[in-house]
Amino acid sequence: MTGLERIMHIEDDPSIQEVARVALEVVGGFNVRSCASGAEGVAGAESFAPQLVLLDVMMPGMDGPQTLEKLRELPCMDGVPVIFMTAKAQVQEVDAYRALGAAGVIVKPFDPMTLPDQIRQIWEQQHD
Amino acid sequence: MNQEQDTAENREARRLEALARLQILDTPSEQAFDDLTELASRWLETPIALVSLVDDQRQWFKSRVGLDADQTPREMAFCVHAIQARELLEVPDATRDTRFRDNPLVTGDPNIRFYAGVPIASPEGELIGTLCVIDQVPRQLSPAQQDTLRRLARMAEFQLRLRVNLLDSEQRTAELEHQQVLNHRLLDSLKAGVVACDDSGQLTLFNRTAKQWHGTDVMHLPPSELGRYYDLYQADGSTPLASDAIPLLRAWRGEPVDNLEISIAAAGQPLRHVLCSGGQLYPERSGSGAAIVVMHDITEIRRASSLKSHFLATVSHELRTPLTAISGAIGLLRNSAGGVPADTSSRLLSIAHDNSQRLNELVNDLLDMEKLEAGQLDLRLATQHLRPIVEQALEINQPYAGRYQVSWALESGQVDPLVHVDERRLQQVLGNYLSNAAKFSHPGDLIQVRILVEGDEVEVQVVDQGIGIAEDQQPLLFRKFTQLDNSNVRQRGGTGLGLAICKELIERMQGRVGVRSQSGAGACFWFRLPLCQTAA
Repeated sequence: MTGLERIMHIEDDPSIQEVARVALEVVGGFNVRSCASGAEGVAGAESFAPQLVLLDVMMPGMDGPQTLEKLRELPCMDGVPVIFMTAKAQVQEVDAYRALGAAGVIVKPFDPMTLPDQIRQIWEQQHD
Repeated sequence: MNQEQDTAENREARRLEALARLQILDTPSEQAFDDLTELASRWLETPIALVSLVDDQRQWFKSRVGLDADQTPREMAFCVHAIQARELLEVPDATRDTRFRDNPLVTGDPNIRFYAGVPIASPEGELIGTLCVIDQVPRQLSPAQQDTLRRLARMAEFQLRLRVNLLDSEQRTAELEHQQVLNHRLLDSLKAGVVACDDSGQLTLFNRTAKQWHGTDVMHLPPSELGRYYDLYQADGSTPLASDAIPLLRAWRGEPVDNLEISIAAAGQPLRHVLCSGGQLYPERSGSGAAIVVMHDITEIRRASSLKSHFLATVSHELRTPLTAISGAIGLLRNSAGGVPADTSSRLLSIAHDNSQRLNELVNDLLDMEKLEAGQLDLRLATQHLRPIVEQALEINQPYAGRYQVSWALESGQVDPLVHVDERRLQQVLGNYLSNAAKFSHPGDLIQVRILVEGDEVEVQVVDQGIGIAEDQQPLLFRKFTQLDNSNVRQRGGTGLGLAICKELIERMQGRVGVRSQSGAGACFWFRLPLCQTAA
């Protein structure tokens, strides 16, 4: 199994995008592609070939679930786990995200220091 | 006045009242009374027979045989004497009777010689007239004939009683009809829908509101046609309501219907949520039976509740977003002091700082809205020049222009009108318009700000060349607690209250707000204020 290196982060808020990027790059040592919208993520997926996608739920335009649906249509995304990042994480909401095919849910506000580990854990569960 | 006279007067008054209550004077002829006079005339072989009613000033004939006149003055009336006698009065020869011999009815037409009359009592027992027979020759009744006359008089009394019953019944019917009209008017004026059915389950009532909500008068439609006009759903507004779950049917079956929520989707109308309560009209009976159900429209309550939930979700999301950035940035700075490059540390500090400000703005927005709604936001209104306020707004909001790489220009010519405004709050409105314009413009765009005087108003426009707003979304922009989901118009980083606050503030300054835009072709946000003629 190849280790997790490339993570695509789709998030419309530039501050959160930046914080997550620093956490993933500096703390986690990942190669991160940040996208400001679902459309940007879908457009960049093929060239970046992410091994995992971190996806915001509430975004203008295509929201998280719609973006996930579009990503799943791409051959390069076959088997690539998608993790939702959201403040809306009540039990029934988490169940709904999982039903949509999310590999995991990370709740906002997130701890940037443990974010890389959280992601690695989900990645490993997917590849057991 | 002695007691005897007083009693006689009272008796006469009671008698006249009883006569008036019968409502019989001056009414058209009636077969039942005409039959009695005809029979009296035939059986007693007299040319004249009358049902005479003695009024205050006259005697009036309800029925007459052999006489043209329908009334005579009371002082001429033989019948008055019969009433006073309170029994059959027989005058064999009036010319020989001192009471009558000078009576004009004796000395002249119709030349009465013989008179026999039996008093007729009203249902209350007051003697109000007579059944009498008259002849122009002297004569005398046999005992059998006297008996006949008494029996016929009793029949006349019976007719009067029938008449009273009929009058009562007519009055009751009229009262019932009146009550029914009143009930229908009342039911039709209710804002609640009211429906009812009889014992067989057949609809008997479908008031105006119910018709309006169903888009049709269900009473006049066969069940197979109803689907053309409306559909019924459960409270969720999407699960079809089984026909045996219709509230009126449940009530008819004797099941409790207590605050049962259903939804009505009538053709051409928005979905309506209604709360139904009702039951059988006679619950003491067993089995199914006549029932009534009252429906209250709770669509607005549902909408408000859903808006509130949506608002809370939006607010919590919008509060958590800067909070996530702040706590994330600080978490990184605190835990990896040595590992984060200096320029990254500086960026993280900026993120924490900017998002703290953003949180503060959000809280201010929420508080402003709360105050505006409670009518507790006091404006400091003063008459002042508009142009300097706009110029200052452009300057204060310059960082926005820088951040989004846009520029703005004021086009006002020499115009500098006087307006009566709260300067700080007008700055807030302009700041909102300008920051929105910056956010939704393309880098390098020019945002034009115009001051235009039209009639007795001045319009300030903030015109961008950005992504624009679809026409159907425009009315939602200034609505409270509404945040458009469309990416083209969503107010990023706001509570969805900014423009609603602008609208409230400008309206409190006697102005109006609006937007002109086409999707993809930029937007012109404007507000209008009344012009002031002179400085205060």
